[in-house]
Amino acid sequence: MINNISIYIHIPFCIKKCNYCNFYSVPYKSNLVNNYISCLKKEIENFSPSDEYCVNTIYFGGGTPSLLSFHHLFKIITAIKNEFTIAENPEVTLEANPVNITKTNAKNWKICGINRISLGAQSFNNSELEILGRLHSEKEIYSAVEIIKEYCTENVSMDLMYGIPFQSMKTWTSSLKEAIKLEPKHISSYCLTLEKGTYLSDKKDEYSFPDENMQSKMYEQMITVLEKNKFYQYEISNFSKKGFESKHNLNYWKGGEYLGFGASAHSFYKMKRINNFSDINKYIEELAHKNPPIEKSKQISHREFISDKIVLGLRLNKGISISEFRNKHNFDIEKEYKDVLKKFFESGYLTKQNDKLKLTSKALFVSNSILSDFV
Amino acid sequence: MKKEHIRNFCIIAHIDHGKSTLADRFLEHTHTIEMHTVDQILDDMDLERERGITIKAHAIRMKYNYKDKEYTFNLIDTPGHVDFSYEVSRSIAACEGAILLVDASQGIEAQTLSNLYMAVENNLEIIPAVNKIDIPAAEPDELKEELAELLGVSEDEVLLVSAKEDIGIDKLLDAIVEEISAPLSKYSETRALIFDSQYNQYRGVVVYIRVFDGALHKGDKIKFFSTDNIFEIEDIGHFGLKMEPCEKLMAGEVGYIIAGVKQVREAKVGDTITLADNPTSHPLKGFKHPKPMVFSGIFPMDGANYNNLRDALAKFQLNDTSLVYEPENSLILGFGFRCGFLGLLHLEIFKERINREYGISIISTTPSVEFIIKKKNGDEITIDNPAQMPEQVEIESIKEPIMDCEILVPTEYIGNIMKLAQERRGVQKNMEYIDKKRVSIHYEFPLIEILFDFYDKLKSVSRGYASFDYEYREHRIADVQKVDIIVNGEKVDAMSFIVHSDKAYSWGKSITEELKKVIPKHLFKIAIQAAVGNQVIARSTINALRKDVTAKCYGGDITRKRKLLEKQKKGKKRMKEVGNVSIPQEAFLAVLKADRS
Repeated sequence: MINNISIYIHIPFCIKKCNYCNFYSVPYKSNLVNNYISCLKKEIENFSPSDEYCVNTIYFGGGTPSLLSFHHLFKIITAIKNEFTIAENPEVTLEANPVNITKTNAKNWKICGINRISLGAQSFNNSELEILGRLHSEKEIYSAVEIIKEYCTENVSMDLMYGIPFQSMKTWTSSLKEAIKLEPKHISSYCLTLEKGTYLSDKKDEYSFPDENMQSKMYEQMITVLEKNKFYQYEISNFSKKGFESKHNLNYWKGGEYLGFGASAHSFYKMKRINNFSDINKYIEELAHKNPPIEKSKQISHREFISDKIVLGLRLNKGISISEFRNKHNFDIEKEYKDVLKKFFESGYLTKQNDKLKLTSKALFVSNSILSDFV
Repeated sequence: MKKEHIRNFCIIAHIDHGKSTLADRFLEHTHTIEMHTVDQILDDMDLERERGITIKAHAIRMKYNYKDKEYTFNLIDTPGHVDFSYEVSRSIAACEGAILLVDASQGIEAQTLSNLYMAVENNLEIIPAVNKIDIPAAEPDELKEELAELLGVSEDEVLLVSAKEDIGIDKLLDAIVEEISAPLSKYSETRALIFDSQYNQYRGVVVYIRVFDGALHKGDKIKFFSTDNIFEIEDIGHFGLKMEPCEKLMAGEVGYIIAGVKQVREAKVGDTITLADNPTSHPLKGFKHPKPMVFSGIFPMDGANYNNLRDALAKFQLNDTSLVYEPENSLILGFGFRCGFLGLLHLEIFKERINREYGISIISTTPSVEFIIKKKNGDEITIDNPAQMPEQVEIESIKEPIMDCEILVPTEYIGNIMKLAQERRGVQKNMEYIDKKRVSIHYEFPLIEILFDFYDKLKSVSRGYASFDYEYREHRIADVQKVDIIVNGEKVDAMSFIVHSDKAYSWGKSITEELKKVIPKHLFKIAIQAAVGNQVIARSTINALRKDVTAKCYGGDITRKRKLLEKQKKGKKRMKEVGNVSIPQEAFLAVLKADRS
């Protein structure tokens, strides 16, 4: 039997760290990048996948993968192609910063097989972009989308953010509408979260943030505006045109297996949750010594797998299939979570339609309160 | 051993004034232990050391050579908190002398003073000593003058020491021989004082005694005066670093007996031991049954732990004479126990030990005092639980416990103290100047008013200088009523409290506000009300949770997301369900923290 698997490649370089970001990243330095790419290649080559796997999605995330030069990107893609069986039409996504979008880049990406661009637009309001510490302006988003569509792919996803300091319902709605005008196929939208150690978190007293109430209203507004424009919500924070859901991310939410390569990348493979060293130097050092760059590897129990799969699956609008759990995993959700289900059915946060168990719309923005009962 | 070569003494000191360190130096100088081998030998419970207080009294024997003669010193350790003042009084009664040890930078505290009075009443010789003279903030000369004035001695007689830096210790040891008198006997019949008792898992109760008259031998049949119970001495001995068995204890000596006593409550602190076949008719004075003053319901967090809690209480009681308990049932918390304690600190220590030593997570209900209620039908009942309060219409009158209190404070804070006392329904009885700068003010306070945050308030209005001490006086008629706390329509019986009518509103208000802070937001709005009978007197509202979402969930780091949810779930498990509201353990404590002014 052939199993699908996803591959994630982490590119931890940034020109400048955004004010809200706590992901692992380091400044772009060409020596370090060269070194890192060689290590990535080595890591991929050292991994010997079982024959039964077939790669159907590849995702370049970061950091800023759009900073990579053609030959870096090509090296990695080639390594993957050499080591793995690749599905016929794999989804290959690259996260891109609007400032990196040039004709040449877009053409090169296409040559490398990139067929989906996730564009970090975040906002169409210049002062909001500045607060976020983004390097692009509203104008650059328009031209970026144009270039991508013409020279690389029509399959564009856009990231948008709400809960930004001084953001109003008006500026949020207008960002949503501008995004829609550019006709992306997919929109991911996140509420700004203050992560410890980030610039915004350190300076939070100097800014006025929309409160929880406002955030919740912005969330509702987004759903209304996007649905009206035929973007279908398929996950708590994700919307797409029919057939353009992110296959890569769907694999996470469905409890599928994935391999992460690069510093701080995570894998879920043969019931093991694995994470690589975050520190890029440590990552490079381990590979130089021919060691796997793994910081931690943990075999999870069947029970943990089940609860992860429920918690992730309930994020999806179509919910989880009760019969799938019963037949494929020998797990009776209705029996094991009898009390939890009863409680949330009664209070209207969960619903069961035929075989599907799902969160109701009012549950989405408070979903952790419900999901935590399933871990 | 000759009586004239025995010295029995204790150290009177406030918490942190250096008693344990001084005791360690004594042990070193008398070669009872080698230098600096063990820190603070006398406090052997972790909890005691962490809190810097000594819960139970202990004793140790040392040999000291003075002018070519060997003396036996028995140092009897005393607990250092007002909750345990009776135990202190019995330790003091076992001694002929006391070292009054005062921190050079802190001065005398009220509790030290009250222990000092106790010592003077018991005719103890007092050796005044100023400790910590090495620290920069020390004002030894001023304190010297003060102590000399207080005790009516010359300033030269006040010793200066630093237990930490080992300064002046030998002089202090000499003073013990010179100043403190040797024990004297009065009667021929045997009399021994129980000044402590501890339960030992393997040997039963070890009874700490001071023999005043006659002698006790291994094999003697003895009688406990207060209970008339007769036991046979199986083992008898002195306290070195360990228990050191011997054949007999003579008048003047301090040591232990083991006599098949099963529970510490059978060997009551303060009781007199005499010989069964030749009993004394003159028991030692001062014996009291320990009287719990503060009552609280103790419930296992997890109902399944009820039996474990019951076993833990039984074990706990083996070693704690003052703890009393009986089964209690709460609508909200289920099955538990109503427990009586000497004071709030005693309750806190109890809770920590149950948690730490027995691994049982517990919830304690709002502490209450004992009220005497006269009903219109003539019945009189005593209640220590607001749940037992009869209907208002049945009540003729309610009496609350009143305490005699002494507050010791520098004169510049008198105004603040008076204001605080007024807020707490204090009645000033008199005020005495101890010296030019300090006064001792006597008040009568209802216990309920000084139970919760009084001590902290007292410290804050006096910049930490005021100290106080109290003891029970009587029950007195008061206009008090029961206030219930209602969470989303459900009465939380464990949070009910009884309070003076004038304060029902302000207490209710501050408790509902405090609960608002500690009860987490739920998916729905929660109303918290305080009510007297059917009338709501205060209210706060916890708004519904609007946002609780991990918006961005990919990148493959499932473990981190999972941990977040697990933490959330664990949090839920630590809560009690009241109706559909989850109330965290801290909420039951929040009731204690609310402002009571």
